[in-house]
Amino acid sequence: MTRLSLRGLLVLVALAAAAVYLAKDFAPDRIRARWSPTNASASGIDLEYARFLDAVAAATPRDATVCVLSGSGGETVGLAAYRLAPRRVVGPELYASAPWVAVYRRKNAPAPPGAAAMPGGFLQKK
Amino acid sequence: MIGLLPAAAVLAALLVAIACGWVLARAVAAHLSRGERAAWAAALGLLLLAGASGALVAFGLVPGPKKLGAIALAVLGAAALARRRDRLAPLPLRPRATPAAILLGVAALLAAAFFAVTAVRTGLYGTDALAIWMLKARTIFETGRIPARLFSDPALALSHPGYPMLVPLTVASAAMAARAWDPRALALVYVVWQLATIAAVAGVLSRRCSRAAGAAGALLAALCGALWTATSVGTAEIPLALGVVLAGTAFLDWLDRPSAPVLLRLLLGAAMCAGAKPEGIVFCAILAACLVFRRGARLRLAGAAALLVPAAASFWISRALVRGVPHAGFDASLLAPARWPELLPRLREVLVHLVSAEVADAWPLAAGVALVLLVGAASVADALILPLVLQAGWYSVVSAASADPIAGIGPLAGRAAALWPAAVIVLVSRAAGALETRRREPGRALGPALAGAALALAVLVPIALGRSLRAAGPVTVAGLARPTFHATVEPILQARCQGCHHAGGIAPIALVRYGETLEHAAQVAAMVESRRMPPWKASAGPHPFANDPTLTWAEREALVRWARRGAPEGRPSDAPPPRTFSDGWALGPPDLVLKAPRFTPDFSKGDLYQCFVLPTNLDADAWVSAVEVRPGNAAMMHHALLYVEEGATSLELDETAPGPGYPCFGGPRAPVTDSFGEWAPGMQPRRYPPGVARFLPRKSRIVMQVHYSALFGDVKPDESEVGVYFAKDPVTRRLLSNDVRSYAPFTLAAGDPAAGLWGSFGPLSSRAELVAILPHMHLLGRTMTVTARMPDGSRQKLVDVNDWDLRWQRTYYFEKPVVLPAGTFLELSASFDNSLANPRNPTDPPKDVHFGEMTTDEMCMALLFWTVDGKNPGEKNAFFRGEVCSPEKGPLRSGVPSRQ
Repeated sequence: MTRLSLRGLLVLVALAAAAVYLAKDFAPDRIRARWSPTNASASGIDLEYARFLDAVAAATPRDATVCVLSGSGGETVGLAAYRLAPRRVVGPELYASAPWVAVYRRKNAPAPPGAAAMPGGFLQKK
Repeated sequence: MIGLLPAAAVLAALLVAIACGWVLARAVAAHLSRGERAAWAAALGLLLLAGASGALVAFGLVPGPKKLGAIALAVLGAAALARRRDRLAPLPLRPRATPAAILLGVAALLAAAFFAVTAVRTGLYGTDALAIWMLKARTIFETGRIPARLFSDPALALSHPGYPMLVPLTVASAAMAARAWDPRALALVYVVWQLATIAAVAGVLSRRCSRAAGAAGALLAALCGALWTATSVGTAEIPLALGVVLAGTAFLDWLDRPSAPVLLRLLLGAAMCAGAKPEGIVFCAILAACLVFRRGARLRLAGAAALLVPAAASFWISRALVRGVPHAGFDASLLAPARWPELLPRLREVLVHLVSAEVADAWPLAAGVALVLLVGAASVADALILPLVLQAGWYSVVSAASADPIAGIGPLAGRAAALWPAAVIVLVSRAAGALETRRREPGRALGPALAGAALALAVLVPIALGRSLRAAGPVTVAGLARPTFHATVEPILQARCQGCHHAGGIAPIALVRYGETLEHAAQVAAMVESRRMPPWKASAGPHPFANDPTLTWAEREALVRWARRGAPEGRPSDAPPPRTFSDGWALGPPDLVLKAPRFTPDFSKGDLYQCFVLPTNLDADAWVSAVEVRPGNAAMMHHALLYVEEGATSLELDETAPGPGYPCFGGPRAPVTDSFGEWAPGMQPRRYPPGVARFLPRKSRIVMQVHYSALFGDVKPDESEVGVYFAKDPVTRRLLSNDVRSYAPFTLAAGDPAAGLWGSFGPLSSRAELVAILPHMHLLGRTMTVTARMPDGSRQKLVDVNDWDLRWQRTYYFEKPVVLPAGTFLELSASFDNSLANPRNPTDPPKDVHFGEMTTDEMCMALLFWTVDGKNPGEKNAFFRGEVCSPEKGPLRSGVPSRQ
């Protein structure tokens, strides 16, 4: 390269504009948000839910089929499937096929007879 | 925080794998730059790790550190033997790095380091990463095998069983080699893939252009935060980006100087793409097609075969393994030519929103890319433009074929990030050519054409799509990019929200003036972003609804962006004319107002059904084009049903009962001749379609049955009113009401979270036009679907409510009346959650619930509002179902309802 032409200047400016735009992800506020301890909660995993699932995992055999009832959508079942692996986790539509029922975020009432209390819910063997 | 021991173990396993990859890379990357060879070392090392584990598992062996270590030693030993016979050609000497190259390289390293620290600090947490990839990886890690149920269990539909297994196998292998499952430590796998991508970009640009170009490319690739922030660390876009770069650069070299090592790189790059995601299979097919149809390309078929073999293998394995699990959220049948007429409008909508919002928001990036394409010098790397554009187009098609095309735009942007590192190679190559006075690579005829096309696309597409968007709704491109209250937000509020959210309206807050909206800006953003507002429970079906208040994606984005950017007011001169509201009546001043007497319910015996007699005092028959019920105390009303009575029974009942009205549990207790309207929480009144009206005979009375529920609110006096709007235009069809309901009686067992009920109604004895439909259940209802089974056996979904909420009942008015030929059956299926997981379950612990009229009982029905051939204005008393069809009897069934 001997000298910068107008054409060269234009492409440099264009690449710099793209780089500056991309670099906004490295702004301090975004980094703080990214590294925040509460980030995991905002990104899909409710930490209380994770504690509940860990307790369910500890109380069920590895080959168990567990129906997880959380009162919300399929994502919570997907997260439970990961957290409880290798157990088989099913949603309410396959309730009949599950010998274990894990109920999360029930109302403030004691677990029904025969059910084991878990943090944030209870676990029942049919 | 990351566990040091697991991290060290995973790191050691990855380094051993990369060392193996380094010696293997001699076969394909000996003639490449160091950066490319490092990238190939990482890619091949992780492929080897995954492949070795997969092979061990296939033979019933559990891959552990010893077995994997033995394989690594075998690979290293074999490579050492091979080295004696085949000495590497020395890498070409490179000029010394310039200060600019060093500066850019350091910046790239810092960005990459930041990614690495973030990855191991936050770990693998994204919902997609866990529910799709990590679930499979953890199952393999925990069981030491690949269970068949990963591909066949309907409970795992969310995990996309058809996706390739490279990512789960690699992560599981790293965990098995380290004997530990630590999501933060395992994020190092993604760090290796990401660093390899950056190294590959830097390497190919160093080789083809200069070291400065390589460093610039590395920086641009490393800055692509979308790969790890827009989605989350742990999605398969990171290895896919590496695969796209490796396959893409091999594709360029194959066009340039085909050779055996390049052919092998094509094959391995395609394996990386096809193993990462289904989109990688498509990219291989696109590259192969570009190769076959490219004029002058030598050895086209050999290169295409190298690309297609891994893609076909991955596709075939998925097809062979996956059994009976539907693809969640994607309707592949929309890709069939017969359904293109449905797909194309969805695709247009996706592109409109994509350009209008994403491109408008990322305009510095879009402008930069367009400018480089426009003024940069032609380069060999330009051959990648078409494959990348086609791949981006494929992502748009995937989004359009999603269950919710607009909701798919967010993931689409994440997917597109996988193409960015390869795009950087194109951009920097063109820029580098323009920066040099003497071009390394002579310009080609393609260059000016591409520049012209880029210019045209950059200018014309946003303009065309922006015009299209303006025609589609109140949000403009400029409004989406820089929203203000008066220019952007107020038109949306007027169109979608103010019907309820005005002073005196049924909503608790008003959203009319700037001040009151500003006060609730954050709440507005949260409610619309989570789609809780505007409330609408029906999913989209083949028959659109006229009163669907759902915000378009652009409208939702505009409201959220406005709130998050400080909720600016803008210029009052931009405001649209204010919407007017008439004394609480949503449809304007009625022609006739019928007032119920003041009544205070006594809930000492539970819910109360009370009927009020409202004389019309009409001297002549009348046709009514709308009825609006204005509840006096909506908080304690479960519903109000209106009936037409021509006799005097209701008057006699009223006179004999104490106080206003008379008790009427189960029905009006009078011989009514027609229904006249209804109200339930969340319901919005609406005028009937042109030419359609209800019949109101002279001297008739309206009997209004009100169900007061003690569950709902404070006990206060009720003084409800009925607004009647007479038809002003000629009436051609009479509105009738019937219902389809479950076979009663039924029982919902205590604790059952998915009890199912069915019902059907028909066959219709005459042709009918369905105007509207009103599903009705109580507290345990979760879903309801009503389907028309046509005489030819085909089915059309009429309404599908997948998140029933008693508080938000709606009459769903069709945009165009649905024609139902004689012989049609109406079929209903519904599910109920009688477990404690249902937050609306009124009993704890749950108890058996039966059919009944009380709120704590359950109902399962859908009111049908239609006009029926032969039941037109001259005829009366067409209310009862026996006159329009022969009811189909059937047994009560329970279990999981069949879903259409």
